[in-house]
Amino acid sequence: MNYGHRLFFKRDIYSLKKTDKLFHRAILENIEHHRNNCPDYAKILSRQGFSVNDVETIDDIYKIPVIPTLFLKNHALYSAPQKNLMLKSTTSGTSGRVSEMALDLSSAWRGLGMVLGTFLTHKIASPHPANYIVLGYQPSKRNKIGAVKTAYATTYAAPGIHREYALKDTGTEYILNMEGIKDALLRYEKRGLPVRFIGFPAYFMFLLRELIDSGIKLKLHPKSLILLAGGWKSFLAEEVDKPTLYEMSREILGLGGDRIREFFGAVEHPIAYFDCPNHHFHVPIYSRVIIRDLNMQPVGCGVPGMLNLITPMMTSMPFASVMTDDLAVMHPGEKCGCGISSPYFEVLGRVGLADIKTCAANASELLDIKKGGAL
Amino acid sequence: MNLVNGEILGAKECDVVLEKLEQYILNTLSKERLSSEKVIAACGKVASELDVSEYMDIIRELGIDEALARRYIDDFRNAFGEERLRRRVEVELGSMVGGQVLPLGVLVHIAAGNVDGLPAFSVLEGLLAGNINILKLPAAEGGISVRLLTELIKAEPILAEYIYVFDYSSKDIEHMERLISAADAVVVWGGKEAVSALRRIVPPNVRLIEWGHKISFAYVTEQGITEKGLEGLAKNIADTGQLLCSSLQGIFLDTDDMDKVYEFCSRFLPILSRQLAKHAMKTGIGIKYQTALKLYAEELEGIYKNSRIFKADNCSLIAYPDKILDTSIQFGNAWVRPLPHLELLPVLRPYKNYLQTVGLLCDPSELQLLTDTLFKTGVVRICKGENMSSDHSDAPHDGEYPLRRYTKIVTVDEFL
Repeated sequence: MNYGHRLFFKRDIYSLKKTDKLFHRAILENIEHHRNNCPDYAKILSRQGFSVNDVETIDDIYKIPVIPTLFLKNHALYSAPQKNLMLKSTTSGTSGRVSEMALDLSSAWRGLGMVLGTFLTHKIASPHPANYIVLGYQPSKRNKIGAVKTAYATTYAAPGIHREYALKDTGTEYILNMEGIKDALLRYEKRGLPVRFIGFPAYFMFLLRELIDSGIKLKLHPKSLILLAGGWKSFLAEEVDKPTLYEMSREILGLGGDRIREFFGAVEHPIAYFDCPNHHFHVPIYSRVIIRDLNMQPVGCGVPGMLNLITPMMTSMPFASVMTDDLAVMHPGEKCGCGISSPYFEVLGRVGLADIKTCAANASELLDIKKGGAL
Repeated sequence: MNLVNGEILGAKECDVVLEKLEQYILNTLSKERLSSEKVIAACGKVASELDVSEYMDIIRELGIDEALARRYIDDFRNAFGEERLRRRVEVELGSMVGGQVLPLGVLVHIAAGNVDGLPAFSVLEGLLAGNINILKLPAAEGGISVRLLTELIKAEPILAEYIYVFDYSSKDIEHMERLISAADAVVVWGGKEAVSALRRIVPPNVRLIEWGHKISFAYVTEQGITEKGLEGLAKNIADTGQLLCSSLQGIFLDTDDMDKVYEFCSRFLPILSRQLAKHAMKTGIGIKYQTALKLYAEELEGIYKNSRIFKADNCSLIAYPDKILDTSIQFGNAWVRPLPHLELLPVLRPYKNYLQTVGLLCDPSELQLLTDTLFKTGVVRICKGENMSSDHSDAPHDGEYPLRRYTKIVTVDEFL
């Protein structure tokens, strides 16, 4: 597991060229590990006729069999014994079905390296104490949703004085804590310490509207930060128009676009992508991103297709190369102008027609019968 | 959006209407009965003057594929056509011996489905049968239904007091109960969840008329396989995108031999591919990607299901050894499974409430036995492949005549 560890503790997180060789070795090492420890993964590799010899250089990593998240929602694949698993998470399940994810010690160690590298590069980590507004669930033993943990973990990036949660755990249920948030914000403003907001863009928009309705206008500490989990987790029903959001934030909180940072990751691909000053998601050294066409073949920059994410981070589950159900497009790093040379990708939306309801019976209803029936 | 008496109302005004709903209804009931001819004439006018581009814009805003949108609009025009409606009234409500057919009175429609104009269509059927209709809109339907119904009222102002639309959420139990208290019957469209939720709030003495989701497939015997028959099945797949409740999702073969199943797939695949090349509904890029992704995921599922995929450029057949009824990947991707005719009844019976149409390919000598067995499983319609989703105006839907369900048969003694 040496190549993988080395990759995740490199400091220069956007110099892809310099790490190509190391990434190539690490991903092969990772696939070998999963093949030996996850029988189902081994079956997939052999069914797809894959051999590690096919991947001679980094340019060949597209040949690694891709596993769609759609498949992972039906099957939990593990490459480590249950007793070694920690930090279990599930997706927030917008589609109803959930993916499972768990880290073992080795994956978690790499995750730590990545978080350090990312926070230092993006200056998210700060030794100065801050007050937190978490626009999500208060963590509890019962709640395994990945986003809760990410949000909670992020509150340690700067020492936390106080944390206020939008969805408060009463012990038996979660309640919307808008009054608590408003009171906390008024207190935070008086204290004069930086404030950090963590949550989804739609939640943040909701908060801003609540503040407007209550006639609250704040001038928060200029070093305050708004961290938003963006990308494919944004709520399509209420697509937040970024410039509008930034302007509202400047108006209501005194914090403009330069204090708003977006990041995202997927449960099946727990790499943290942070946006650059131009709000683009550049690919860090921990992963490689391939866009694929309808025949699963890779396409170049500027051509939209399906988003395939590749990383050797996980040793607990065979998520070396996963395909999300997003459509995306790659752009060369130079096009951005922020100075980061690695390419960046833009998520265009989800594939398909999830929202269409037709009169054909849906799979889940029939599945219930299959399970219950004497077939 | 709320619509009362031909006018769009806000939420607060609706509460006022709700207070007086019973009074409004009594007022309408005391007048002369609504004639179906007036409804039909209004529909004809709306269908012929329909501004397609305007509706396309709305549907596009809902994020729906353009080809699908066009199909919905065509279907809709078809359904609102005067000829067809007149024929329906004649077939479904005519020739009643020993009684008179009258409207139930007030129907509350709870509609799911966000793009096919179904909510408005449900109201139209209620009107044809002479009822006062209260429609509870589904969430996120883009205002299509209200627009259509408003146009209907413009074409025939008498209809204004027969059409109410309210925008309450199904979770708003208080308002839902209010609406239902005015109803002679509640018409519900949708899946299991929607229907069960409603069953909990509809009182026992109010009639509940369910239109649930259905599934259709083909049954093919060795002797029944002909080039023309297979073309018919392929045509249904190509024409409907496998999206309708009457669309072919997959094919059961009268055999227990997987080699026969593989053989069938090899023979049927080029036929399907040809039909799709000729007739396929043009799908948007989003659907193409979704289909490719599902097909690829299904390929990987092969390690568990022991399935085999037969792929052409524009379509696929997946041969499974199990005997399960399943929705397909759709858009030209069907399943093929073995199912000897002696096992039809035990295998399909658990799906009884979901079965709709079977496209049957068999020898004439097998027809009697197979249709009889299939009807026993719960199937309500058997036809050739190419007719599975064709619109016969006089054919019942899901084994029922909708207009008849919305009426009652009354009798009066001869007093004189």
